[in-house]
Amino acid sequence: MSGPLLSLQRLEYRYPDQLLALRGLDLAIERGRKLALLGSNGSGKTTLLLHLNGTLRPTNGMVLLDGQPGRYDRQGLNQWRRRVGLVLQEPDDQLFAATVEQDVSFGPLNLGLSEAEARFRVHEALEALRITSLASRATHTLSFGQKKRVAIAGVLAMRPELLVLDEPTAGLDSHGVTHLLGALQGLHQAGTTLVFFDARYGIGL
Amino acid sequence: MRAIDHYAWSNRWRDWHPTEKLLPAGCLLILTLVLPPLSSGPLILASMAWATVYGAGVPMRALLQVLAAPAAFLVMGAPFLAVSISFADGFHWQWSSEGWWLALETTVRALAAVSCLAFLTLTTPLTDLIALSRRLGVPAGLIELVQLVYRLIFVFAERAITGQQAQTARLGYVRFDRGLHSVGGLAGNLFQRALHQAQRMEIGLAARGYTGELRVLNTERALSWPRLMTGITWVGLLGLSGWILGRGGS
Ligand SMILES: Nc1ncnc2c1ncn2[C@@H]1O[C@H](COP(=O)(O)OP(=O)(O)OP(=O)(O)O)[C@@H](O)[C@H]1O
Ligand SMILES: [Mg+2]
Repeated sequence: MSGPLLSLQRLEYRYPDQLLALRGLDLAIERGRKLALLGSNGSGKTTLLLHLNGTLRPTNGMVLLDGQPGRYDRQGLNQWRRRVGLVLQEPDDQLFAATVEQDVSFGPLNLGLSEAEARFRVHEALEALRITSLASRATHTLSFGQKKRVAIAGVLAMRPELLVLDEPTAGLDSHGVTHLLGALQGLHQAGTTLVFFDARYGIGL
Repeated sequence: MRAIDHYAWSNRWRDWHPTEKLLPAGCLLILTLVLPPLSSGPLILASMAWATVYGAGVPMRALLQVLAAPAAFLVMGAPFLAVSISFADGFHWQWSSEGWWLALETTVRALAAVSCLAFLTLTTPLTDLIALSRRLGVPAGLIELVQLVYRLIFVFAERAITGQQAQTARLGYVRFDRGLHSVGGLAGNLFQRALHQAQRMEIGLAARGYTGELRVLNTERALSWPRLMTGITWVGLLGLSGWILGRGGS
């Protein structure tokens, strides 16, 4: 189990409308690391991120999971997504259930956990992001920053080995940023590998 | 819509088991249909309004808002029941006293029925009703659809509102013709966004292990037998008095 958890080799991606979004990208994500990838708007952060859990398939090059080429069949993707958790840029793209508790329980139940275990995971994830007080709130009454944390909790509750976040601090106030970075720091210390994408420099972890 | 939803999530009876609200309201709804409306209708209307406003603590204003639309509809429609038309020799119409009664009965009955539904929607979050229907055996596919629609309504409502505010800020509604143009643009834009939203949500859900089933944990609410029995007794009393009054009247 040495070698990188996930690596990209000469990755190239072309959108169907012929726009070349990524070219010749090499990257190795080592276990237990904390990695920040910075790039300006439109530089291809989201495109790259969607390769990390197999949502997009490279036009050229490869994504390797534990040194093995990623598998894009249904079962392969399922395994992949258990290990790599993705938090999208826009929380509304990820939250679908009516209450916070329900939404966060979605991932754990998909893992096949029992209701009791799922309930525990929900609690744990809400605790980690310090939003237990939101548990029974209606999703659509939350502020943007609150939604963002709920979206992260929803992925966290699956306890991924690698957690990938697309601009997690965008739209948060400085207090929210401090809180979130603190929570991520805690996860990292607990052994989760972290990759996060940001458009602004100077976001220190 | 937003106001209804707000009270459904924040009223005093929110945490009651949905059965405790659905069963009495459902029974009363049936009573409005079977009992003579002029005696039972006002009783049911009054007690539902009482339960909503004094029981659950929903402001009277919100209840009236919910009742206003169907009431207006009834007021416009009912007079047609009071008119009798004949084509025997040429076209004739006249007010008929039977028709008046019919119009009155229909209005009262419909208002009473609507008050039962208003009580339910103002005091019970949709999620509770969904959880209950799941247990009653409504197909999972249908339930998932309702769940998604419920969430997306608010996503789009938010966008429609901000979109309209942005258009207004750029004087999109200064004149009627510009207004029409702006509304058209907004609708087209929302439709496009809806398609994108669906695509991105699919990505978001797939990342969390979605394989075709939207299963979530439901908050367990304890059923309170005393409350349920109180509700049922109350329904029984209302039904009985409505029936007796109705017999006395005829
Ligand atoms: N679905 C798509 N179809 C075609 N082109 C796309 C699509 N999504 C993104 N692009 C293009 O690919 C390039 C990279 O976009 P991407 O979304 O990855 O950037 P980003 O770094 O995440 O930007 P931002 O900071 O604004 O989120 C951009 O030029 C964008 O216009
Ligand atoms: Mg992006």
